[in-house]
Amino acid sequence: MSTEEPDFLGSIANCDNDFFQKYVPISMWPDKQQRQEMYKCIGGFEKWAELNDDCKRHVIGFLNYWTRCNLSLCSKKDNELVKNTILFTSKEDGIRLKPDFNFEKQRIETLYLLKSYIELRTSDGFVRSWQFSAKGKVCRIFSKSYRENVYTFSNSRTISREGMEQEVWNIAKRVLSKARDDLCQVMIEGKWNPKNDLPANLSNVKVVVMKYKSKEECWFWLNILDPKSALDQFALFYENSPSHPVDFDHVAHPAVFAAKSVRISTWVRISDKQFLQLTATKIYIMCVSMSSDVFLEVLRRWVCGETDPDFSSLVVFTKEENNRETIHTEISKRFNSIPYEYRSYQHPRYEFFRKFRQFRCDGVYCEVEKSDDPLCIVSVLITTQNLVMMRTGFACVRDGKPSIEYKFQET
Amino acid sequence: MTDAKNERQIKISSSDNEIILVPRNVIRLSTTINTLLQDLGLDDDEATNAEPIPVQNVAAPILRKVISWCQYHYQDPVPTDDSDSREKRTDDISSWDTEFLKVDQGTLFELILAANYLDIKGLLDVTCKAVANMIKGKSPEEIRRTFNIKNDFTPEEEEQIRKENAWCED
Repeated sequence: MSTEEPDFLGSIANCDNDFFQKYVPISMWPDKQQRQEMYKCIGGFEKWAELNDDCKRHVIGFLNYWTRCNLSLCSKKDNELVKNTILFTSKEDGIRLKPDFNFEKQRIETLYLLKSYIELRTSDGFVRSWQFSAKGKVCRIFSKSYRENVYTFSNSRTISREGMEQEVWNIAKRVLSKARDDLCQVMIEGKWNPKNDLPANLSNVKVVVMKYKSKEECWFWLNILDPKSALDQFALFYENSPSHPVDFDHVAHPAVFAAKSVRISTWVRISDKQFLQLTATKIYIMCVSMSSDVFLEVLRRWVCGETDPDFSSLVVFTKEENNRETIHTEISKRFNSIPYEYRSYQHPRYEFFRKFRQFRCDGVYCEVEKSDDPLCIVSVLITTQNLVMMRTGFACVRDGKPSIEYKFQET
Repeated sequence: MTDAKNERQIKISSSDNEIILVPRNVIRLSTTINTLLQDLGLDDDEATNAEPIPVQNVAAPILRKVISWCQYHYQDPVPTDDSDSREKRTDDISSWDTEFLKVDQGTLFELILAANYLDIKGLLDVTCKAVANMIKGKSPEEIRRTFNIKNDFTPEEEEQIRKENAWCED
């Protein structure tokens, strides 16, 4: 052992730990001097390169994670060996330190940016997460990486509680920089408003799920979406009361108006004009109020074939009571509809009741045909606080004759 | 330790043709020789191997050292399988083994190869632990110095690996 590495020698010589004391009889403990003499005698291991791969792997098997990382940086050969040496064993196979993940080519597809938790998911099922746990003046960060049955690693570190917000954004910034244009889904439930220095590269995001916190936060995330690219799904949730609704202006972004699915599980104040701008085939929204004219206009657009042919459902919860009979009368007047007595279960399809049971049972119900296709039907339910329009009747052939097949969609 | 001298002796020959007699129970620690004896039908108590078992890859001085290790450890409990997921320890080298490993690095190198060839798990473990301890806690540059490893990465490649490490860890 060279004299220039006294710390290393000392660290080995002082390794009388609990495990050793517990399992090795005291008479068998080497003293510090013995250990120092042993390593002095050996004096290094310059023949490492000549050792065969089997033996090297056996040595690497005794190294902890961090030392393996350092060894992997020594040479190409060592890098390859470290990557392929089992770190832990699992039920099915050994978990290796770095299987050929090709980390740099992994595409980050999903980002969860929650109050005290950040998680990314890649295209190959690799998951990396950071859990923040603040207590007193410190914050512990538990980070974990895994891919099921292949790889796992966790680590923890402590920072000051004051630095928690900055660290959250540092990690978010790193992830967003890495994700570049690959990010498809973001789930946001922020504790703090985002920093302006986050990379604005969410042009390919297709799914945004957000817990409402502030106008600023909504604007920040929506403004870095591509306004010309429609979202597949936009969801906003927040527990509020109808007397303190969220203003829809806070999320009124072209990508939201053009989204294929919109789910707003919080009370919002939305104008008629804004509502009619939504082009989603599936809408779930909690409006403080909604005029019957708007609902009738949506229905008219469907009847006249002006909406997306993939239209699936519109579910509106309203705070202000709807005038069921008036709306129903208007529907009967304007469209070719068949009324059913909802409350006395007079409907040929039992699935109907199961599907619509989630809404109030005081409603009026009818089925409306498309103007140019009587076999193409939407079911319409109007209760005091729900306006529901669901694509249910589809053309089919039964016994060689044109008929209607009912399908009740998920809302 | 029990005396193994009166037990059945097995003749083995080193790569430099030295013949060494070793008690059967002692050499039982070597899976390679065990398997060979069984395959040759020489594992019965009455069987004698007139011809020594060749151990082509191990020279006599190392083979004697290996046998001395086996002589001391042949009654140890059978090592358990490494199937649990705990980090393996390297700081549990016993006092006797510490004395045993007071050798130069060339001998340690030969002992590792011999233990691997003869498939003596306990000896392979203890010798590899000694090497692992020389790596632990060192930076890549220190490991390269101690192990005489030539850095064949370009600066860009090295940076790439550092990035990969940093991508997974903080």
